[in-house]
Amino acid sequence: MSGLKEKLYSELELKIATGVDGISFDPHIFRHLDVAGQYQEEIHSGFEMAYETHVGIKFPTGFRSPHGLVFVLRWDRRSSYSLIYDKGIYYLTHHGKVIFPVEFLQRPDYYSRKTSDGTRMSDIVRYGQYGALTVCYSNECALKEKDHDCKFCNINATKDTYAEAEGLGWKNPRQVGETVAEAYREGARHLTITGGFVAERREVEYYLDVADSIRENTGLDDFNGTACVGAPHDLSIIDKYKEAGYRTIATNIEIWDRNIFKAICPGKELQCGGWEHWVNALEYEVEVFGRGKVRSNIVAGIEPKESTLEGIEYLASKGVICFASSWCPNPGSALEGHRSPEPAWHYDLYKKIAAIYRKYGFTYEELYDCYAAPISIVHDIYRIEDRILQVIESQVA
Amino acid sequence: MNDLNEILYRELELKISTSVEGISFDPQIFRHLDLGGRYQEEVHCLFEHAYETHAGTKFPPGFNSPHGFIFNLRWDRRSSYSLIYEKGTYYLAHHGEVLFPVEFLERPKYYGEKTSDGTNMYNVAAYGQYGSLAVIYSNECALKEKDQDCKFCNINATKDTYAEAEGIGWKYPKQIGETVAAAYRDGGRHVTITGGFVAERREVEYYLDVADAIKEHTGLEDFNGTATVGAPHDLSIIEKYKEAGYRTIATNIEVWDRNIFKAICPGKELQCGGWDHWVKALEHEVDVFGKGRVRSIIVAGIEPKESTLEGIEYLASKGVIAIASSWNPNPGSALEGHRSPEPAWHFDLHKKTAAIYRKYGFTFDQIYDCSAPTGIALDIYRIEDKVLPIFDAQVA
Repeated sequence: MSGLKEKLYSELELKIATGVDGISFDPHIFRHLDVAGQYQEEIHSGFEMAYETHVGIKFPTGFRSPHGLVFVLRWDRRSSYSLIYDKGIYYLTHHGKVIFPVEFLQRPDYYSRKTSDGTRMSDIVRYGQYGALTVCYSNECALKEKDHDCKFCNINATKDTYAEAEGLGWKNPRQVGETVAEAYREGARHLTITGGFVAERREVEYYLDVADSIRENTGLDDFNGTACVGAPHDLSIIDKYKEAGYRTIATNIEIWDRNIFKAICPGKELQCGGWEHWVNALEYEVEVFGRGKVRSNIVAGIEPKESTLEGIEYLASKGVICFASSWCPNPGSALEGHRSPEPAWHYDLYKKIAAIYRKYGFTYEELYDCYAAPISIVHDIYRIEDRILQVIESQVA
Repeated sequence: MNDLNEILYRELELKISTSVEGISFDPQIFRHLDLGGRYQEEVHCLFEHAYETHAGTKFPPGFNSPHGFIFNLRWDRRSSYSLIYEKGTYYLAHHGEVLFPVEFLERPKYYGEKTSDGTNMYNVAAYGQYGSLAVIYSNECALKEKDQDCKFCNINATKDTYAEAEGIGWKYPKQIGETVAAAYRDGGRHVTITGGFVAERREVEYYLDVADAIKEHTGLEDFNGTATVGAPHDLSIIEKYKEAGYRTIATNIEVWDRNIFKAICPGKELQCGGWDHWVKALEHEVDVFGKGRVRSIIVAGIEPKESTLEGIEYLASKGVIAIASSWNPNPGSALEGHRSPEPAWHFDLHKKTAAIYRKYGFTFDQIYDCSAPTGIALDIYRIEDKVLPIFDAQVA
């Protein structure tokens, strides 16, 4: 392994460790930072990923490492990693020792604009870096009505904590269309529409209306959108998402082990056809959208690693790009107080996932086109191996 | 809560924290300690609980805290808790700050004795404190033959690492009878017979022979024994354990959620009748042994807490004492690299478990008679029932 590659992988390990174990800091440390001005602020439109809630105190959403990896900022006062501020510079430290100075993420211009009805665009569409946007159209999940929320999920608790304070609510298609158009003018090039389950599974009409609005406002027939949906009871509905103009589709299975799935995702099991139906839906989505155009996600660390890898390999063999996202037991979820596996466990998992993707021929562009935040570890491994990080390009130059 | 109770509960929290997070120390730190002489050494007859293996380097199994709790010593170099040695005294520290001096556990006298065939008695029956012994007759589990070990379990890996180095193997009834008799002469008063599954589930004959040997050597008809067994296919076999003289019986369900059970305990699911059968076995055991005379363990931290508590409450309502034992992802288990929930999660669980036991009327003696006596729920009983020596000192 070359010297640069080694450095990049050790920075990547650090990214995983700070993502899993969090970063400690005084919540007031950012008084010196122009958060929501020059720098991008965190918007709680989906999940609170910090160990504690911090309503009323804005945090930046993440930062760049010296070699260009985008780190998420997950607050955990118990972590041995910390952020410190010294003479105008913020540093990442470990056990009090400086690792490197950090550069917070720039706020995209559209965050300071408003839709025609006066809504802040920052509340409509979240910027996920590298030109990728996420619309959390509904920041609640109807599975809670029968106490069937996924056990790792805190979407409803996050809504209870932050929705009023941050002015977050349902996003209507026009707001989404206008915001996406603005972000695309600034260079964005991918969009994920996602959210909690809506009552009676009426989401399809919404997704079609959103697609129409985006096309109308952007003027693009193919706007590179990912429709993130639960497995519909009637699989033929999947064709409608394709017809509406979504380039890719995503259906998150969350857990591969079918028995643990039943226990951890009771709503998906009892109200949405169960594990086999979710797998059938993913396979049908490949028939409709094509190989490499369907995404799923597994919450990594709840089930044994071999099961997660079995799922990723099985789905890859069917043409589904199944990601693993490190489980962070969140405040307000049923699994609050549990802990994610060690960072080394996650690192090993990601390396194996990247190898599976290569084995089945998935390209970086395919990964990019179907995932909400292209800052995942597997994206980074591709960037390192395909030499598409800026630091590698500058070395060549 | 009075001051002493507050202090005791704080120490108990620390016991949970040091067990879940482990304790860091230089493995050579015990060169100043008369391990295997005055002080008891750890014997790896079942599971390695430390974060790393340490074949060839003996550790003590635990120590006493100032107010009389027995802490396990679970080695983890990454922990913020540590053991330090200074001027002849060992201290427990947190982030380098001394919490208290520790007093290691005295080695029981029988650890220095041998059976008539020359076997070290410490390799036959592990001393679990408070007069309680554990005989791990088989330090391997036959479920591995079909790759169906419980995912949290490292019994087979522990055997691979330690059995040869520590001279641990199958225990014969005569060895057990002699060892239990020696230990009981020293004050032992409870023995658990346990071990991994044996091929073709032939364990019942063995348990009966062991009971005969114990009765013969101790001269006791009721030797206060717990037979820890897998749910037998034919539930009528359970009566044989009772007839053989075991006072209590234990069948560990491990995970209460029936679906997670299937995933985490594939051998118990596929080879031993499955979750429903295990629950039926426990209920039948109560019919045979009586309420409060049957124990089951749930490995706490794998499934959601509400599920564990549901199981403990359900089983308690049937007369089964279900013990929540904090999950420590062990070296060599399929879940190595996972992490147990936070200490506060476990503390809350143990308090709720103790409250369930009270609700269903389980007594200290009933819990003692069927489980490891250093469990957190028993410590809560010790505090609430004022049976720690510190209470006597206060009265005096």
